[in-house]
Amino acid sequence: MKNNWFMRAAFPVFGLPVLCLLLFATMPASAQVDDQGAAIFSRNCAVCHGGDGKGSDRGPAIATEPSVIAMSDADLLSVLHNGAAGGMPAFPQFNNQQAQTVVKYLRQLQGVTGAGPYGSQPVGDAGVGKAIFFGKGGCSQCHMINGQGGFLAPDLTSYGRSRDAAAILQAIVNPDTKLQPAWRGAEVQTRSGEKISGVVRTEDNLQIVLQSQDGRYHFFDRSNLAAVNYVNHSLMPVDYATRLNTKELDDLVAYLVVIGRNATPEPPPTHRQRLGHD
Amino acid sequence: MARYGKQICGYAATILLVAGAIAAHARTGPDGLQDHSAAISSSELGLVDVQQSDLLQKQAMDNWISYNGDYTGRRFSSLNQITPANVSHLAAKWIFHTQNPGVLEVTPVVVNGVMFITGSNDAYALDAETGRLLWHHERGISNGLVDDASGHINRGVAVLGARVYMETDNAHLLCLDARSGNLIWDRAYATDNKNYGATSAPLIVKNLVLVGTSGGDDGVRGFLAAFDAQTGNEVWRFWTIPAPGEFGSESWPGDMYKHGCAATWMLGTYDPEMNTLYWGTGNPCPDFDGRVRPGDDLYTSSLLALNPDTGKLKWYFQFSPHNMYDYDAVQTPVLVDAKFKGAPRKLVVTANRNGFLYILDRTNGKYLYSKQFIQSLNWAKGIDKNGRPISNNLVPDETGVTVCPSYGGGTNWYSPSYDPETNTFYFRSLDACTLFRAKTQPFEEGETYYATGARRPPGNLPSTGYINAFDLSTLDFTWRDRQIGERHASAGVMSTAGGLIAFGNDAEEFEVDDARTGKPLWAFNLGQAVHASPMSYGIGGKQYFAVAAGDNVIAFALP
Ligand code: HEC
Ligand code: HEC
Repeated sequence: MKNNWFMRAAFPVFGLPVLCLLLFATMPASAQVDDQGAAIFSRNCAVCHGGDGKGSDRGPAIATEPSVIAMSDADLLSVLHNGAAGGMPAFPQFNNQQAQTVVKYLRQLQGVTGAGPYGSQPVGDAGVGKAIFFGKGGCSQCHMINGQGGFLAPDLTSYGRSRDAAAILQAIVNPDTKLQPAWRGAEVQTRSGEKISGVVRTEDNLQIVLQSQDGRYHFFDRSNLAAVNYVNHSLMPVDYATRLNTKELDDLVAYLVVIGRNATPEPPPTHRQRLGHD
Repeated sequence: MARYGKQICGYAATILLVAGAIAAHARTGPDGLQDHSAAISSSELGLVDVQQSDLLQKQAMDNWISYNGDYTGRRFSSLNQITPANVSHLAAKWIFHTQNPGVLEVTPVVVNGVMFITGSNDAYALDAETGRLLWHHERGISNGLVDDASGHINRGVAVLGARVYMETDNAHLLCLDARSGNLIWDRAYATDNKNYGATSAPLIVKNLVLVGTSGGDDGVRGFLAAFDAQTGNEVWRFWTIPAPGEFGSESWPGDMYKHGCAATWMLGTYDPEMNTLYWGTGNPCPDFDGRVRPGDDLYTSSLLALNPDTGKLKWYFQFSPHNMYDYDAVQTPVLVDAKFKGAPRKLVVTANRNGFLYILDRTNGKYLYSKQFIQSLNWAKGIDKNGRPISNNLVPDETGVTVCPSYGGGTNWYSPSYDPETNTFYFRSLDACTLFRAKTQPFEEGETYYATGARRPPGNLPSTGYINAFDLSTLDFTWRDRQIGERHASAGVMSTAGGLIAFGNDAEEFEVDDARTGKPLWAFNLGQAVHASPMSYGIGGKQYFAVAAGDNVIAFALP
């Protein structure tokens, strides 16, 4: 278990070259971060709703609050234009294009793709999905749910709370479409030729800290390293679309949605940075 | 496109193939500094997996494994790289800013180069060499709390295995994954009175996580609870106010016992050989109105000795029976093995908020000795041969009565320290007085339960802070250093094998003094108040000090 799963889970050895070709040939154009939306949001909204929309003591968590996610685009545009009682200012100065850009960006923060209505019942069987998550799928080797599982990848306990089924499915079958800097992998080589790889936990121009699969942190001065190579690629296996069948994928999605909706909503962080940092 | 992809994939595969290959620590080489006896081999660096044997270590070396550094509570670091001779070169190494407008009261815990701190309900893991963030567990503060809990104070974590434990402002015990900060479980442990909160760091004993509560001026019923570190299931709970019919219940008529306080708001100490837990309790409630709680008010303002496996009381010692001046007894009960009047003894030493320093036999709770350390003290004439104070019967009423030490105590929760090499007990004290008034009031949830007020008395009374060095061999003060500065710091003291003591001073500085003489040797202007106790740790042959100030944690080392 200890040394092999990581390799096995991420790259079934014999299928590797084929998969890589497949992946890079078919990968959709990666979703561009909407720079304009991000800029408007951070200038006008982040001060109250947080840079990530997860709220502050001045405004609610509009990125994760199910009632806000469930609002239609038209409702959101109207809130923007008219404001809302309870301290939400109106933004009549936005032209249509700007307002739509902000809403689109907010949808990104919410993880809503628009491919399926939020709140609809997922088609899969959550119970079976759970078994796949902790068994055959190997998801729990990297991800944690309700305190069970691994630590190298994001905790998925409340992930499904605010996302629609289509977005979740995409995240599972196309992990490379949305690489998250917080989960970037790297391999470093020391001057003596030793290689260490793991997830980058913090770095600057002088240092880099990797966390290897045993949970250990490795601290390096860049000046002591012969090479630092980043993995421009999700650490998540790329073959779930083929390794799991449609029914199994639906079951996994159902599990994430059900667990997410049952998760106790975390109280919004109260002392947040005034400006978003993402 | 395909070629590019192939390259990356090939590359990623290499990385994953070598994943698990472990390298030695690559950052810090021998730096030519004076050697110190590092306990941690570099092969452990970066790995958080605290074993019972780590917790039982008799010396705090590179790791500062728990709030007080070890089970004795002496807050003494065996690192000796920084000395009176070189301390003038001490310099700030990094600052970690928590984005948290509160004032931190945390003592960092360091395990193999990874530092864990808390601020309000947030926990952070840092690279202890650079202060850079490794993970952050974010959790909003709770609304609707009273008193200390509404200040969202948090004093830090406990670590066992690869798990980090902390209390939240609303008295939940959280178990976090030390490698990611992910929440493993969350137990609300004080739910039947809204006035409960929690501010302390937990204490790990064997496979148990021990927690107390705040709310000790707010009409809660104090208790100490033990949770299974693995499952989070409650194993035992000791109520510090007896229920009707139990020993001591005569002080608590009707349902007063539900509001008698004796909160357990700081962590205790532990003697593994005696298998005994030592835990202090807070003042009774209502604080200033003693009329409604006749008698001694057990087990308030006391030291409890408990069996950690069962929560059964072995003995208790009450410092301030029937207290009316907010004299909690939660100051660290420091476990000392030393000669007392010539004979080797197992002692517990504590400087109490009531203005006396006590030495007890920790095998049976027998009173051995006390020493008054507040000159203006007027609430008692002294301590009798059994350790009971001889009261001056200053009873707060509607007009008020001036009592010394003050409402803030002759000393308080900020750490004392015991240096085994000098056999000296170091602590901060405050010589000041308060005008206490009392008025009978009913308990009300959502309100404090002081049953009236405390304020500065009229006239020219003292308000003087000291750092004290009390020699356990001579039973006298080696030195008492009067503090100079704008305002009194709530900042603890630590000592080191380098012959130093360190503390936040009254001028908002981090100061290091000569432990033998008290001579101030070095200070760094933090520019923000210190309401925390410092600690020391080592990485790669370098000794560090760290202290929380304002909403930052700042680390120091020699160049
Ligand atoms: C001055 C602080 C502030 C700013 C700036 C602000 N908001 Fe709000 N917003 C609030 C508050 C407070 C509420 C909650 C109102 C309520 O109680 O319904 C809110 C509510 C909302 C809602 C939910 C409305 C509903 O009916 O539930 C949305 C959507 C929203 N804001 C979007 C935005 C966007 C987008 C921006 C930037 C263009 C923005 N807000 C800027 C304070 C602010
Ligand atoms: C080898 C480790 C690994 C395994 C196994 C793995 N994942 Fe992931 N997963 C990751 C990482 C790392 C990310 C972070 C995003 C990125 O960089 O790809 C991620 C991201 C995700 C996300 C998006 C999370 C977010 O916050 O955006 C979802 C959903 C997800 N994984 C589901 C699964 C499921 C379901 C399985 C099992 C079928 C699985 N993962 C197996 C490593 C893994």
